[in-house]
Amino acid sequence: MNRKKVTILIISGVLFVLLIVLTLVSDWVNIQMMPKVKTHALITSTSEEGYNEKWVPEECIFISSTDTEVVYLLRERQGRFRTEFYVEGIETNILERKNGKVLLDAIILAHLDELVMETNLAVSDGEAVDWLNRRAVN
Amino acid sequence: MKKIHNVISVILVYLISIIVIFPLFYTIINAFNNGVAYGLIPKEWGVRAFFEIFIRRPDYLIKFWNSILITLSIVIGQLFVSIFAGYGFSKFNFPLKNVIFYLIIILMMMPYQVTLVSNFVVLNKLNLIGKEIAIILPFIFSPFGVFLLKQAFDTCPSEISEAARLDGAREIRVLFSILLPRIKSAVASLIILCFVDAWNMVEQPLVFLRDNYKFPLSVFLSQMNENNIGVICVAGILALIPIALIFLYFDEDLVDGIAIIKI
Repeated sequence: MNRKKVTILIISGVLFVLLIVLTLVSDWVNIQMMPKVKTHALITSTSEEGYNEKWVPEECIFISSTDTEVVYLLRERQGRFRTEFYVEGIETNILERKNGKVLLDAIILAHLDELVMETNLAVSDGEAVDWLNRRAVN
Repeated sequence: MKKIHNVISVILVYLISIIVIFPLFYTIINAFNNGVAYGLIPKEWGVRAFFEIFIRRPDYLIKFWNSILITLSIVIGQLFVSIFAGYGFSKFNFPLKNVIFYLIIILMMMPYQVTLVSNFVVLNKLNLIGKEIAIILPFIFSPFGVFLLKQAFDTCPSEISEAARLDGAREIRVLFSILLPRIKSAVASLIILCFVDAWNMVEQPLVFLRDNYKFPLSVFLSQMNENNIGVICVAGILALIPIALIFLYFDEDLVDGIAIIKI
């Protein structure tokens, strides 16, 4: 094997190791810099007329970049290294406000869905987050 | 007259080289662009894009490793199949050999989209859709690799392999110890061409994979919608590194190997 090929092999090896290290470092940094969220479990109730009602704390309502009211639903997905949590923004209308809670018009939400109530950083649709409630349970 | 001809040829070569190299140069310059707009000379210089790609978000590097995994698997698989198939077509006689070989040549001429639907149906029946093996398996059986190595094995005189057999060597020994070293350049050419083809594929992962985290870097680059121009350019440079290294390693063998096809 001539000197040129040996040099290229050495460079490739060094780059390979460097990229592995950078992958692990960037994964760690990403976890540290993720928005940290606390959630509220949605409890549906039944109105006197027999309709499903979704009352949530006002803190669960956020204003999206398009100036619409959204709730962020916590979802789970498989990542390369681990299962990760992310938020799905759902546009909603507020039907009523009472005692610090709001009644939502959002058919897609189901009983015991986790809605983001508190976050240390602004979140956007599809963004991975660190779910603090899960740590509390564990 | 000859001197003028030489001068014109040199000028033309330089012009074409500049046209070919300019996009790469432009990409490297804009990798240091901290702004939003492209520019030959960026208005805001910085290394924010490098920080984003290599430190802040692991998405790009994860997709880079996906590409490496898929591409290396395809190259190794294709080498394995092409070596044995090429050797068989070149050195053995069996019924319908010429018909099968012509079918392989016809397959080689077809665009891959022709077989995409049938591949999907078969892989779906095998419950492989959504897994990386769904991309790797169809790519392993490459008509071009078989054709190239068959032509390469044809250049090896049969007397050499006969002499080895007379000395007691088995077929596998004849293939790997005697014939394969003689066609090193063709094998190197196949590695380069196969690597580039597999590294740049976009449609197959989009059709056969479901999860975003399994997509290779080529798909990611084709779907990128970043406002950060620097990030796009740095990701492009990241995609360029393995191909450049493979080419630099095998560049002397590439021309010899393709010449074997005698096109």
